[in-house]
Order: sequence, then structure tokens, then C-alpha cells
Amino acid sequence: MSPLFSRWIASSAAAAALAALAGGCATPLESARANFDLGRLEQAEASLHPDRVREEDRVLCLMERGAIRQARGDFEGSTRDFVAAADLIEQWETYSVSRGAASLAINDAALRYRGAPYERTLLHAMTALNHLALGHWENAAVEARRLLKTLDPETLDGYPDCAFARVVAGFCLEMIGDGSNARRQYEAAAALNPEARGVANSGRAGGSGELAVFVLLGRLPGGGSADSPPTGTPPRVEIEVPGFAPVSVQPLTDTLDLAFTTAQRELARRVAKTVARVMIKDQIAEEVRRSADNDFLGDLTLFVLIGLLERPDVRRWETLPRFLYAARLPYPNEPVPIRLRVRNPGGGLWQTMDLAPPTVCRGRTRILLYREIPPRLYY
Amino acid sequence: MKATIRVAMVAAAVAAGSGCRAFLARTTDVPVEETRHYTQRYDYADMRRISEEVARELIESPVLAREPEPPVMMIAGIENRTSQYVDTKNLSDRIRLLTFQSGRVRYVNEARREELMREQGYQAANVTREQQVAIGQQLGARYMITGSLAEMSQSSPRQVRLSRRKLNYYKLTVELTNLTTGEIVWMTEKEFAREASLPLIGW
Repeated sequence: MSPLFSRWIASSAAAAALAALAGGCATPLESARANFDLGRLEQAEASLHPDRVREEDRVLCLMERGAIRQARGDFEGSTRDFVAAADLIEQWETYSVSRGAASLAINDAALRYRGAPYERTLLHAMTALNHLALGHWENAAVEARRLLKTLDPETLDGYPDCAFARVVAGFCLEMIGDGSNARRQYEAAAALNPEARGVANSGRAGGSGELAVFVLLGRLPGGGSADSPPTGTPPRVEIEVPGFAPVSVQPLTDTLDLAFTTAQRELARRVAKTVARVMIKDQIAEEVRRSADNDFLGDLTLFVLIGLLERPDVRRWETLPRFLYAARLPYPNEPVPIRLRVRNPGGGLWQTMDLAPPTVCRGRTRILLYREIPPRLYY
Repeated sequence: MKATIRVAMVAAAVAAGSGCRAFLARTTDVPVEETRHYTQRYDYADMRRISEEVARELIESPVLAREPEPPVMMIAGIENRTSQYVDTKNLSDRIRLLTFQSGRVRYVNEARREELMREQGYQAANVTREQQVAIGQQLGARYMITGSLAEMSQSSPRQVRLSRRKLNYYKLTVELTNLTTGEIVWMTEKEFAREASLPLIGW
């Protein structure tokens, strides 16, 4: 390595470190999440624009904004974001050698974020829910088929399956009359979580109609917190329709569980890559020290490359709901309001929500999508 | 150092000479009859081709040959059973256009029925008797066109490789139902498959 080149490496590393330090200010993603936590959904949405984030984080930005828009009830806007995110994920399937090399010299945040497998599955599940909330049955089924591709055993490759996503897919297929494929998904969901058996059959009783409810509670903790598995019993949701007995359900999926299992699955690969990267960085610093014949320059390079730039990639879709519920229950043929109660594992009441009668229906099945808006978080 | 500058200059000259068009924004008109596929997915060229084939078969079908005069039809829609956001209305609109232009069939405008009724109501209330359209004299369709577009996809299995092959199979089924009897009197099916190879490693 020539002295000129070694100085160039040292100055590049310093510039990258400065950029990293400057990036320490709140990013659009961080401020959007902070606003989301405070229930300031308009501000949260306004802080996010795919053109204002690094290209590497564009998918994450679209997923976060889509979830915020969904929480605001802007199902069309949310769908546009989710579909754009899914398109980018597909476009970025080709591994970029240049970004791969950069991730070996800097850190994994230099790679384009394509979402963890469970995030890619839930991206389609959330889009399908948007379509259901809009009464776009065929489009919901399109998303159900996309979702099922992500759950194909070969695509999944040992990553966790998702009972809630399978129930959503089954319901979407049922809504377009594809009963046999719907049943397969309900069965697969029940194998993952017996609670899903409750949604395999219509909720109609006697001459009543039916209410299909999808409840999304809380939000997933930040990327650094998946190191321990979720503990404790999750909250129960009680759905009360006038004239019928209340129905109480457990979540079909805890997304923290999916995040934890995914992190465990990737642990060995991440450790191996980090070790390799640290060795490469050490070698670069050694080369700089030797060729420039300057220990300070070598130490500075090492400090910048490892001390400042070496950090774990904790990117994660954080506005994704934590607990995902689905239920089907009897509902009168005339629209009536619905009451949701969130109870803690001991049965104590955490929250009561009174909701207007759902307006979207398919035949005698009414659809209700409820996304809890922060700050009412349950974890 | 001089060698580095020389290499850089040669590289710049090669880039300027060979690929400069790639750096310019430009637009080009493409004849719609020309078939271009960039991915394995259903695209406009497929829409044009299969709608033309279906329309031609329908026009030449024995059902229409037996009709003494062009029968009135309506299109109830083509169901999208794929994993793509396919505008199947586009497909049915084109089938309607091509069959309509043949003069062998007539159509009622079922998609604009609400607007039609509103306009008739408006005329009944506000337009002079001489200029009012007659009410209750709409044509009833004798046949209904329905269909579905289905997809099946495959991709090459996981293995050490530089590219991934993806194969999509599409099948359009269109049927004609006699609205009096409920009998399906004519059916056709168009199918095609396309494979694309996508690099797994790029710059």
C-alpha cells in the first residue's frame, strides 16, 4: 500500500466517521417513531418521506409510513406505501457487490434493508387488511397470494411462520370464494397456534350475520431489544356486540416472538460477519500504519473503523403492531356499535374502546380492522 | 501517479464514447404491436394478444353464427386470481371493443347503469316531453361474459448459482352464459408461460 493510498484510506475513514456522527442526530425514522409513540400521527407521517432517507432505508421508511397511515385510517395511502415497499424488496433481490463490500468495511447498515422474513410476510398481511377495510376483495386476495409465497417452505428456509398472516390469507381467499385454499391456511394457522381454530369457521349463529375482527395492538420494541424472548402472558381482547355474548381472544401472533426467533436464526451469521469485518478493519489499520510509517495514523484509522463505525444493524419495522388478533363472531343483520376491551392476563381491565358499526361488508360478513393508536401500549 | 491519471483518462474516454447515452434522460415511442417483455410477469403485450384471440374466437363461435341478428351481451367481469395487481377491467374492455367493432354483438352498458338511471330521472323531471327519452325500454342482455385470469409460478431451487430463474404460467378462461337458461354456451381458454432469469449478484 502506498503512503498516498494509506492517507486516502485514513481520511476516507475519518469522513465516514464524521458522517456517522452527524447521523447521530434524530433521523426522520426516529422522529417519526417518537411522534407515533406520542400519538401524534400527522407529525409522524409528515416526518417520513422516502426521498429524505438514505436509499438503504427506503423500504423501512415506506413500511413505517404505511403503518402510520394505516393507524390514521388512510388505508389507500398505506396500501400505496406497502406496495411500493414490496416492489423495492423484489427489485433489491439482486445482491449488490459494492454494498456488500462497503458493509464489510463499514457496517451492515451500508446494506439495503429488505426487511426480515417475518416483516416481508406481515407487509403483505397489512396490505391485505387495508384492502379488506376498503372492501377491495380481489386485491386482498392478490396480497394473500403474495403473502403465501413468503411462507413457502423454501422461501421461509427455517425462519418463523406466522399464524396471523395465514389467517388473514385464508380469510381473503374465503372472501373471493376460494374455500378450499382458505381452509388449508386456517389449518396451517391452527397448527401454529390453536387459538386460530376460532377463526376457521363462520361466526354466524342462527339467522345472524357475522363480524370478522382484526385487532392490532401495541408496537414492536426497537431493534436492539430482540435479544430476549417475550415474557409473560399477552393481553386478551374482549369483543362485545349488543345482543350476543362477549368473545374473548388471545393474540394469534406476537411479533416480538417472530423478531426474537429471527434474530436467533441469524445470530451465527451475524457473529461470523462481524468477526470477519473486525479482522478486515484491523488489517486495513495495520496497512495504513505500516505504509505511512505513522503509528498515530494507524491508531486513528483503527479507532474510526472499529470504535466509531462498528455498530450492529438494529434496523427494524418498529411501527409494526406487537399483538395481532383475529376473531369471527355473530353480528346482527343491522349495523350496531362494537365495544372492545383489552384485559391484562389477570383479567383486569386495561382499556375500553367503543367503535362505530363497521360499514364494509361482503354478503352478511362485516369487516372491522382496529389498529390501536399510541400512547396506549401494552408491553 | 502519472500512470493513475492516464488510466483514469482512458476510463473516462471509454465511458464517454460508449455509454454516454445511458447518462441522458430520453423518451422513445414504442409501437404497441411490438412485443417486449422485461420480466416474467403478465404485461400489456399479453393483454393485447389474449384479448384479441378471445375476441376472434367469440366472433367466430357457432353460438353467434346461429343467432339471426347480433345478440345483446353484458360483461360481468374477469376475476383476477393472480398475485399481481392486474387490471382485468382493461382486458374485458378490450374484448368488448373488438367484438363490438366486428358488428356481430351488441352490448348494454352495465357499468354505467346508475348514471343512466340518474339521467333518465333527471330528464323525466326537467326535460320537455318531446325531448325526453322513453323510460322502461332498455335492452335486456341475452348473454353474459365472465372469466378469470389465473397464475401459477415457480422459481429455481436454492443452490449455488449466479442467477435465479422465475417462471410464471397464466391462464385466461372466458365463458359465455345464456341469461335465460343459465347454461354456459361457449368457453375458451388462453394460456402462456414465461421464464425470466434474474441475476443474483450485481454491482
